[in-house]
Amino acid sequence: MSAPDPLDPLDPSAPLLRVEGLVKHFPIFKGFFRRQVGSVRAVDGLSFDLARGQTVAMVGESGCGKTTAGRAILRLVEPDAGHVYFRGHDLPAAPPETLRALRRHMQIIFQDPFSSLNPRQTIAQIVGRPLQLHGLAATEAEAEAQVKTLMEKVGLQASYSTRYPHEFSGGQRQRIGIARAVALRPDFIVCDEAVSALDVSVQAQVLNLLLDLKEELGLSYLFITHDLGVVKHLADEVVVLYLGQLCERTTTKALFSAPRHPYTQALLSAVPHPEPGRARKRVILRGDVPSPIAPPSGCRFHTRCPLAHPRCAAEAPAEHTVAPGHVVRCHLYDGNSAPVDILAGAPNGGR
Amino acid sequence: MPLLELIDLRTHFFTDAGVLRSVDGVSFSVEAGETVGVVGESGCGKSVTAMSILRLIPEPPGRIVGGEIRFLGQDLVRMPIAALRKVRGNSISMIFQEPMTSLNPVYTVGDQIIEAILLHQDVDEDRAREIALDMLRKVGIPAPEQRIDEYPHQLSGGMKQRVMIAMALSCQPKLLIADEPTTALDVTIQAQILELLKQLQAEQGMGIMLITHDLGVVAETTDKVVVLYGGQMAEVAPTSTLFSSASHPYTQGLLRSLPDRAPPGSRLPTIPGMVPSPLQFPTGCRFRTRCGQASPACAALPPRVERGPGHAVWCHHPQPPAGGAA
Repeated sequence: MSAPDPLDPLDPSAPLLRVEGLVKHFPIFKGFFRRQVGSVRAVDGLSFDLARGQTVAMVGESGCGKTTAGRAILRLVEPDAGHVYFRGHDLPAAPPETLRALRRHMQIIFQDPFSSLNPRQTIAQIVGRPLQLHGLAATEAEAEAQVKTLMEKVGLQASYSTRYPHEFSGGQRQRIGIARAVALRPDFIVCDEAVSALDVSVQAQVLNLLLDLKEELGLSYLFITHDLGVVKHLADEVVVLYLGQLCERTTTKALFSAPRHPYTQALLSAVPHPEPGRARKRVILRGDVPSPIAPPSGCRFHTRCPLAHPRCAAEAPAEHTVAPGHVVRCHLYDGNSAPVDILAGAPNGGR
Repeated sequence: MPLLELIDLRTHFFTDAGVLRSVDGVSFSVEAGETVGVVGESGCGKSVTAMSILRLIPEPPGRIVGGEIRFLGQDLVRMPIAALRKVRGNSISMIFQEPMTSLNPVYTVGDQIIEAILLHQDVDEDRAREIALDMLRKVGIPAPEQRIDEYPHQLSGGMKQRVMIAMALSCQPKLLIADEPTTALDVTIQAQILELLKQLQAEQGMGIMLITHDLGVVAETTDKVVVLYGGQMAEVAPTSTLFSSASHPYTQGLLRSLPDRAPPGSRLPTIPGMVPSPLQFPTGCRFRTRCGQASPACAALPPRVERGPGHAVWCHHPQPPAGGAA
């Protein structure tokens, strides 16, 4: 086999992280006997690679499964199927002690800087505890010294380490969350809407910090966000999700210059740009995102797709490679790699 | 005569910790058929300004301590509460950020819209229901005959916001105050709602005061922008002027810090520090502690400087248009 082996940590051509066919359904129970009456199909067969030192952005609207995917990758929720290869292990199959050792190398930064820090712990405890648990600091004093270095690294005064989270602003709390995530010198960090709750001027400060840390510590990010401005700014590759399934996966450059999937095109056209008077066409999608409890048959986007044709309701589309590294899950690209434009209408009699 | 005119509005909160001067000298106007964006970061006083217009500030601790709010020539600040009730929800309506919490969960959406109509219009219940159905149809609710008897929890976020809009517009207001109406919604739904507001504005000719922190939404939907910082005026300008030739250092900093405008992967220019707590606003220009242009003169209140037609800036050191902010 000449293909890079995702289980070989020494193979330099292997991706840092490989996700293959990840599935996570949440059961819905009803009644006295807690009978299962259905399931929320939050993530339904997701695959992508994250190369070392790169940033992959995962985008989509509420309910598309991006947060669940992030958590299932880290095994913060147990995936139902699929593989996540990381540092020579398949995470969903890893025994607890292996997983615990691997946790050091993969961390997460949460969206809400208000609820993701324990209000009863000081910053020194929040950031320092993981250092002791993972044996990176032998004594309390050693942990304390490291905490101070970390705080300065994320732009907080070291003397604040004895304060509690409520004494900080939203932006500062997010810096604490970042200090906690990088404390264990991880390779890989999931940033789940890490800058979404912040004001514009503070958001810019935190984005700069994340870019600095990435360079300095050689980090790889999985950036979960709905903000396409942020994606364009810091991602190398983008994964677009709709109702738990992949729509499109490509480089950031290709995604913004030549989006292929009708959903990606509609999403990009819906984003308001801070440039008044800019001439543009906009596709306004009809209706709401359907419920992931009963997702539409076939292609899950077909109920809102202006280019949908009968096949879309009947059959789920396969992944089609339209250009090197550019994958689209849409029937319009079955045997056709020429771009389709939802602004212009379907090329082959769709609608 | 403008539809709405705020003249040196001051709303303060008197708390145990001290006086919060949340809105401290805000002046701008909204014309009929015009959309005015009010932008600024958390704590800049944009929501308190909106609440002050309808006198919805909880009193105590809050109080409008100065200034005028002229609506069609009448001063809302000094209007008796009975007369004000006729204005609220009738000629001035408001939609809030959280469609999830601004509808009453124990009444059907129909009941809530019909109540507003019965309160302000001289019609019977059957006619009110017809008007409500008509509004629901107008805001694009599918199957309105069925939806009208449903409860808020049965609707999605985008649908709830449509219901809020239907309710707000059911009495054909002259002024609509929209406080972050799309912030809680997804972008494809946001596009639907903004389009809907635009279309209804064209039909009914109302003025819209749109409060938002999203400069993209501002660029695409407003005619004029008011920039607030720390409860004070920073800049007011026609929308295209603001984006091309902002002259307040704060506005310039805000525009520069947008990732949309920077080369990918570059470090974004930032405004140092953070918005101070309203208890610790500096004297004079409240932005001076974070401003690169600050001088000792800034300890005094900044003057209003005219920069062009409809473009004014409150600053001791107005800046030339920033280069590269295309």
